[in-house]
Amino acid sequence: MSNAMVLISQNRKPNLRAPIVQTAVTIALDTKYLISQPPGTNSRGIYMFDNRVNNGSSNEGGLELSTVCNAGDIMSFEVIAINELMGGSADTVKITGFNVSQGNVFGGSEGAPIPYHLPGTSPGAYWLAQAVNAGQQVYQIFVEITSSGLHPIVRDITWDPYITAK
Amino acid sequence: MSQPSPGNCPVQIQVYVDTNAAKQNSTAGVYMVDNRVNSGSTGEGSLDLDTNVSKASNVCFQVINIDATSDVTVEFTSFGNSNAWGTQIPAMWDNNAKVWTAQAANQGGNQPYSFVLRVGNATPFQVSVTTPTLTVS
Repeated sequence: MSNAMVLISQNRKPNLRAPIVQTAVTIALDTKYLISQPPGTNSRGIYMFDNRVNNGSSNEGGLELSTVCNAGDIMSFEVIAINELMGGSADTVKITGFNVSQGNVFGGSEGAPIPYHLPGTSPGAYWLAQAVNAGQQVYQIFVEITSSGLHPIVRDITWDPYITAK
Repeated sequence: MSQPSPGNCPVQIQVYVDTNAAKQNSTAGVYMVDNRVNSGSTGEGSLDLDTNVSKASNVCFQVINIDATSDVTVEFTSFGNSNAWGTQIPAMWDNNAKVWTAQAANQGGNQPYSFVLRVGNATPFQVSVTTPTLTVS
């Protein structure tokens, strides 16, 4: 057992230096399953949640979460390997980028996602963005999974969730 | 049997909590996933999660606040009895109430189990989850 991993879990506490996040999107990844799949087929093993179901978000727990936030919100995006506590067998996950294919909630570069090192989160796993404009947006999130083991396998995955800013 | 460490649990189950939606006498804003979709688990992303495991598999539960910057504490306070656990129900690991472990002792399909979460700091409330199941083969 890796005591360090437990400490990360225990230390998942508020960071006063972080911007105030109004809308948080967190993505749980069944990494062993996703690594076993051919690239580009991502219909299972990806589970998205946000803290906005009371604001009208839908498809919580699904692949294509539809987040409803408020215009101006600071948003966070975090990826977590479901096996993160498995010590040396835990896989690592990080977000490598975003693309907006429809709509302009991020307002181009003004609210575009950037990586942010929040203590207690894995490097590259936590990003911040801003919902600058009201409206709807389809976006792609790009995630890289690296397996544990002597010969790590790297798998890049992407899919298309939604944001509506009121 | 000694309690398994999280690192020795091939079965990992995570509980995600939206503390804006969670409230007493409700399971709103509480979701579950596991790392076993390829082994036949169903109900991923919901509290109807049925986790499929082999007998004697070690199982780890972790509860996570969806907003990593939130100052609202979420943790387990107890697990209930279940045929799946036999005589040793899940126990807290290393004094961290966010991580509990156990072993799937008894075979059976869709064996219900339950747990209670505590949400909040100064005036915490409890959320009782009774719908997930374990299929142990």
